[in-house]
Amino acid sequence: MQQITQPKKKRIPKATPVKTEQESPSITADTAFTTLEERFPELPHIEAAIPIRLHMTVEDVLLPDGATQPAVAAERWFQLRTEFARLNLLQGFDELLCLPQLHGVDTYWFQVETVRKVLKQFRGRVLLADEVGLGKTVEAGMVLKEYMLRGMVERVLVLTPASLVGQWHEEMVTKFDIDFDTSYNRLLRTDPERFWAQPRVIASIATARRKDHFARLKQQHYDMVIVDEAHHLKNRRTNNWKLVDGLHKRFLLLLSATPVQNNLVELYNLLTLLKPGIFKTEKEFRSAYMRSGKPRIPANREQMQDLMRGVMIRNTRSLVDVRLPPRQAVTLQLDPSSEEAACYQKITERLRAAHAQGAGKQRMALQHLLSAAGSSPATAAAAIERFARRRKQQSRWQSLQRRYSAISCGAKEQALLDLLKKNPDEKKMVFVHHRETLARLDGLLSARDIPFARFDGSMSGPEKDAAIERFRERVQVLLCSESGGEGRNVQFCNTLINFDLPWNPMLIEQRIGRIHRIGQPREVFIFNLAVRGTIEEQILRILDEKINMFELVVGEIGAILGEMEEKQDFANMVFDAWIDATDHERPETFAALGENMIRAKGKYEAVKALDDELFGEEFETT
Amino acid sequence: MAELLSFVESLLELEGAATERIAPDGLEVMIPPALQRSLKIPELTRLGFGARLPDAAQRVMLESEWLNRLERVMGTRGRAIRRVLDVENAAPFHPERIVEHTLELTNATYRLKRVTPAWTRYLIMTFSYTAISDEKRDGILRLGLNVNNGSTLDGLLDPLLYPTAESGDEHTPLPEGVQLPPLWETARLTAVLNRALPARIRERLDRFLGSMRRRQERDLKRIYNYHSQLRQQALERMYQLQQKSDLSERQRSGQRRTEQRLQTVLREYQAKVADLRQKYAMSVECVWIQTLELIMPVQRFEVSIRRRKGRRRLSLDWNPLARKLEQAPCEYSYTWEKPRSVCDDQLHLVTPAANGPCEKCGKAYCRACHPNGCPRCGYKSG
Repeated sequence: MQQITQPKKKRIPKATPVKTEQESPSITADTAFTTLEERFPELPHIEAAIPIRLHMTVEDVLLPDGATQPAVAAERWFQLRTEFARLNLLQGFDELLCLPQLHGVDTYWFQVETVRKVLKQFRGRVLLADEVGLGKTVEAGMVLKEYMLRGMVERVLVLTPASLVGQWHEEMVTKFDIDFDTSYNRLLRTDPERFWAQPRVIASIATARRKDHFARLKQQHYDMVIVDEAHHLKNRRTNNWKLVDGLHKRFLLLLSATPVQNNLVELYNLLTLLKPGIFKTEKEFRSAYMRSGKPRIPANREQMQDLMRGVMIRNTRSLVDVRLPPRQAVTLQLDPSSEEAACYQKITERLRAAHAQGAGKQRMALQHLLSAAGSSPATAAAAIERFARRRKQQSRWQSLQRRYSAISCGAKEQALLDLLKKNPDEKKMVFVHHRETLARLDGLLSARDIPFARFDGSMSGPEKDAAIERFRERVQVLLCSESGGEGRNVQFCNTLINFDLPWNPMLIEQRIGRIHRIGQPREVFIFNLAVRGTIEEQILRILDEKINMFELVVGEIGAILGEMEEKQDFANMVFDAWIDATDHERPETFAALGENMIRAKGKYEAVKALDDELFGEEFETT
Repeated sequence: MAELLSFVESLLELEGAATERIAPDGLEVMIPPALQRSLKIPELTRLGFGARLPDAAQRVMLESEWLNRLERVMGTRGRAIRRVLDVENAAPFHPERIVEHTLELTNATYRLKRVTPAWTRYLIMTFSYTAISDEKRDGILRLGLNVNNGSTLDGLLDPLLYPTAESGDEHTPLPEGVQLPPLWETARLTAVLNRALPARIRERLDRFLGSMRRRQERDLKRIYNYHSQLRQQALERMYQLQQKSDLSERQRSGQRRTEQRLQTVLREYQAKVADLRQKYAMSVECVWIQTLELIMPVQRFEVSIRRRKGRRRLSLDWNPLARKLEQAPCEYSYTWEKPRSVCDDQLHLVTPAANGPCEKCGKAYCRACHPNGCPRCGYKSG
């Protein structure tokens, strides 16, 4: 299909005659250049015809048999089918097919407009740079779904930071009904060839860029590639950039709220991925759009923005007019009973010993135990029992398990009962991370005759609807697991109680997002319960006191975590900080972690300010 | 949306539902159990089609699961139908002049032998086509064939379809004693469709393809310029290094890197062009929707064609509704384009190109005689 033609030869430099020691006096720079040109001839003009593949199913053509139906009815059915064929043609990109197919997604007008624009004007190659919290993932999912429904996309690769692989998978499945395989799958290690050949994959970019995987990925052809947190492609000398550049792809969505982190060359690199040559070479970009010594300030802003308008959309809060009411967070530091404190001390010691003995493989189990101990005594007892049974260490753990079982009421349980008594007319959502704690609180509230509704992930759709209905109409308390209120309007409630705390701040943010969202008319109150001397107390100190997480816009905590130098999960970081330090060292370790978070927040704010300054409101959908 | 409302109303009524229009842009329907299951709605339902919905109405839109439900209700009904049009069939004046205006042969002579009234069957087939590249285009294509001789009905279809659509529910029986040309075997029909449809679909997509080509050319140019500039910059660096008399180790390694860079630029350029090919690659799907078998009287023109020492008879039908004589079919491509050339061996009527030289070895041959490729070198053009 490719035809290669040689262009007319063109002179390159304006060379002046020079003499060199090695060359004879008659050789000039012109000659030297000619030699260079001969060694490296001009690029051939490659003409690429548009390959057309035609698939026809004419074998199915039927001829009338004349006997199936009365002639009059047949005539009417025939006309109806003609009309139906015509109706099918009326679907354009103006009306999105994906909207009725989304589950539990509140779509906003700017997202719908963005999707239309990506489909119609950008033809599926765009940098989606909406401000944090405006739903870039939802926009990307809608674009993908739309293309899939129209039969334009089958093979998709989503590249994300490792920490977001699971979240992407969950969102694609639950909200868009699109199933993906992920780089968590064992198949990646046992048969990588087969893994990458699958039609829809979500992979961590760190995994995908590995030399062996990269080679395989370059053999694949994708209809669409989506890169989340695309500012990781800011440097064209990195394997991240080379990976995305080297993939065979038709549509490319780059997602980043902060595409420019340090200087404008980063933007050049990102946009070159979308439309190679849009800003010509880096050297020309620098001379046309950058000032010497001021790498963040464009020299020719309007012209640069004109070019960028063809490849970038950035919606801002001011366009969207998202004005949420304020929210207040209160952390209740609770004193444990002496037995509760002693048990927590004991379990910490046991876990530290196990960890020190190189129980790296049990890391998840150890984390779970510590998290359970922070949730409630009943949960701790159940988790210890499971842990010991699986490892056949019942005798070793029996006494601690019994001690936990014997604690009739933990400090948080009493605090919760007190909280529920206050403002009894206000609706309150109580979020619980651990299943056993949910069951325990269920029993506790029932025993005290406190009416409540329960919402957890094991319930069917209608059961969940009924629970929300009951909460709205008849009871003041909703007891729920992490999935509480997911996809339902619960803005009639403005008080949230974090009975226990997931160590992943994004999950905490999700909880808040259930009630602190568009449609919430009143101030939102968040109560965090933490027992003194536990890891949760330290986590809350960092998140609440150091970086004021509860005042951040939804989505910002993810951006801050992304700025941290440590590339591991926050949950792992806090666990390490807790388990590796002695009681004496612990305050210092957590203080250092807090400082890291403050630095990351500062970095994020600086980058955000830079991007706001650079892009302003110039790239909005309207 | 008025078209959708009217369609749903007709469909439900045909399936035994009671319907009543309600404001604004809605329908109240009472539907039988089978339909309730197919449409997933209760017996008494209100449906809304406009921007504003009637009270308690479900929204029905083109962009929704509703189209799938409606398609399920339709099943295979309305796929094929036979219509008889018993229209007045007066013979045209000056038939010789009509043939003269219609039949263009580049290498043969012909003579009109006679004109007689007859009956024929037309197959008018409707297809939908969808072209997908980084954009999508779809449309409906109708292809009519005269079963009598394989003529395609390009330019005759509208006059044939409008009166038949207007005739509505009237059912005309086939008069007794009428002789019809036999229906084709599926294999023959499939072979003709496989030849006739691609060119017609391409013609429909011509503007779309044109715009894609223009965009692709712009992209190619941009990519070429970009990589040429990269090459230029690398050459300039090389040149500067060459001018230095005594290169340090670092400069020599810079020189080597620049050489590699020049090779990389060429590779990257080729890869980016390959990417563009993939981006713009187009896949077109053509799906059959329905067939109308139209039976009607015609005036049959018997023509004798003479090429060198060979002779053949050709019958062409003059249609009394369109008041036109049909084109002689290209017996290879079934194209609508004129003129026709007559082959030496079996006197096939084909386009001059289909009787022209092989693109590889230059031997002229008839594609209808040798559909599998050139009899000399075996080459078959796309």
